[in-house]
Amino acid sequence: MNPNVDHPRWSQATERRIGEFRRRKTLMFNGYAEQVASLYAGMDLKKYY
Amino acid sequence: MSRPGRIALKVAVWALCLAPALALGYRTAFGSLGANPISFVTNWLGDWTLRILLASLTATPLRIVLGVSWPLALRRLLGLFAFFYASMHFCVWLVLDHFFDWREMGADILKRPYITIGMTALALMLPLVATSTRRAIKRLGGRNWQRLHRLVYAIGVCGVLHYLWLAKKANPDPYYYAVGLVLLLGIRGADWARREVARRRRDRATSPAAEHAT
Repeated sequence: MNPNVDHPRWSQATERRIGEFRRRKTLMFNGYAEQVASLYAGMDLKKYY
Repeated sequence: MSRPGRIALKVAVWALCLAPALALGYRTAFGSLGANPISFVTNWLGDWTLRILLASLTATPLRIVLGVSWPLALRRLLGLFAFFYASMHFCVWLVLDHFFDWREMGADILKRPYITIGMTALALMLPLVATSTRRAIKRLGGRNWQRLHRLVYAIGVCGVLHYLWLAKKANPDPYYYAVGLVLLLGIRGADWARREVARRRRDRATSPAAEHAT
């Protein structure tokens, strides 16, 4: 998931985790960038957000 | 209507309009707000804003259709309560949902039509609230005041569009509100057209130009 690109109907930049009150910034690839980024190499992440 | 009757009516409207807020307080206190409390509270307040707003718009259609005029006296109370719920709806979004994250909210207002139009509805309510006192009616003059307060039709349209645009397609609720609003405004429109036709006919009947035209 690419937090820098909005879904047509909502922003993907922040999230609220269950049990937490404040929103937090959503991380690239849901925080698993180190593990999975290589799988998406060469993909247009603006299109496949 | 008698004075005690009017007072009883207003007390009843106060009670009915405060009930949703009290029920929400009760649910908050006892933790029965569901899995997503913030969205529950937001939706609850938005629902009641629309219901009370539409209720305030039923006074004139009731007079037109049934010829009863006592609901007219409740419009201000209902309008102010609609504003009360709308402001709480807004505050929940501002504080609980986004916690003053101005950048996120600014982007949302500009980018998402349902938020833009919701903000528009709230902004349009402000001049009506500010001129809701008897003094304001006097200062503006009845005609100007009435013209200004026709903004409530625009507020109704914006409010219903706000809900139509944000709801998921499978949710039929916004359409009920839309049908209600169309009905309430349609009755006014039909009545206006009927009076306009009658006025023109009367004008033609009394105007000498029409009689002697060659």
